[in-house]
Amino acid sequence: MPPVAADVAQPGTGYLPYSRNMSIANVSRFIRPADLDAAVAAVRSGALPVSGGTDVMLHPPARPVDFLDLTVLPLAGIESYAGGVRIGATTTLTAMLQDPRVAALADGVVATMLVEVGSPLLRNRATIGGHLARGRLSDVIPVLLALDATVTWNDGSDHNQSLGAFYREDRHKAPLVITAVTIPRPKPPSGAAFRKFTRTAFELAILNCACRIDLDATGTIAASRIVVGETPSVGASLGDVEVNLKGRTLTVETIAAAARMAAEAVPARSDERASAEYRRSLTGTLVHRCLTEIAERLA
Amino acid sequence: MNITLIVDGKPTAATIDPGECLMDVLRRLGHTSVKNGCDRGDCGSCAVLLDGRAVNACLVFAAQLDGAAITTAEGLEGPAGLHPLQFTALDGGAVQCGFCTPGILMTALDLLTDHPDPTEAEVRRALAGSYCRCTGYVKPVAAILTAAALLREGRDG
Repeated sequence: MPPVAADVAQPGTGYLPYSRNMSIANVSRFIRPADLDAAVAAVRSGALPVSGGTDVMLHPPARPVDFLDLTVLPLAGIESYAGGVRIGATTTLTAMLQDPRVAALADGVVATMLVEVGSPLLRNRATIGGHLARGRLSDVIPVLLALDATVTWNDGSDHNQSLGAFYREDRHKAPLVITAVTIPRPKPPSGAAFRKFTRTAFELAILNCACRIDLDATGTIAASRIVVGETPSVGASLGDVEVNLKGRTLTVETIAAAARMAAEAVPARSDERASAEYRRSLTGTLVHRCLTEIAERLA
Repeated sequence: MNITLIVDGKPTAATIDPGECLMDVLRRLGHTSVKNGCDRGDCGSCAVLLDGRAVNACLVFAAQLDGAAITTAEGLEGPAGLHPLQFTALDGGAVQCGFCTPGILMTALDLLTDHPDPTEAEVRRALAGSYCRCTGYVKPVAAILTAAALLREGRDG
């Protein structure tokens, strides 16, 4: 069926005389790449990669720039393999939330967290790759860090890197295209938990916390991840607390000590949403809640 | 640039700016049920279905949507009359000024596609990104639960 000629609309001719045009300026072109190589070449020439676009729309470029549509590439989809789950970069947060393979991973902590991220309207459009490329204001990143996720990206060739190193090196600000994130399946016995502190689920976290505890055959802690996010920096692992937990059993006393230590170690800063002091106090509380939940599950 | 959208089942051509959002394009095409409440994904008044999923039309670049299917609240009514979500919203007093209503209807439709029998808590969570500044949420939530029941009856009967 051919398009209906009467419905052809021109930009700048508002339907109502007083309608405001809310779209963003400085987008020179919207490039549809033929393949990943073409996409990477465009990004290396200065184009801004756009996936769901929900964050880009809120942060318009200051100067004219080409946009690059990643959603035309076959990067969406979730694959399960023996060691875990691989999630393509343009997979929406809703697709992740509804996937039974993701839900079965690590006590369902990914799904537990995603329910509290934004609204369904945002999750239906926002993608995991776009979220990781943004690299801030995130509940997703602390959980992926706690699960030792790796990110796959292309800057002319494919690279795999731990998500922690990806952010430590500020790689998300480099001209590259994120193609996937891989979440390994923790080896049992293992437990994971997530807590977010905010007024409502829709709002950004004032602080969040994701923890994972791996036990050995004797029931002592073989490895752990204690990640605190929105400090207000993007999540980071509290290495000293993790080292201190190794070889202990997850008792009430161990949990209380870890929570106290985390509150001292957290690199909390003040911003318009909360003071550093408040964030330190929250850190102790959220680490305590996460570890208590894990202890109950592993008991 | 030129794109074609399938809006409420009808192929529709539009000439757009590369930085234009879907909300502005739909309103220019005359689909004024798509409301601009906040222009930043906070209020949900511009929600439409994009290939079956409800999104904030203000946060989606139209340039990425060539060939996509869009459903607005104007496309809800069928040959048999109002959609159950529309009927129960009117019948249950869930509409006051009506500004948020189209977005809430499309958000609810998205929920009922995956959860035909939602709990009240699930309905409330689904409306996390939909703001009503008149009636509050008691009547919209009740109307959505009633519509879900009507839709299940229709499906089973």
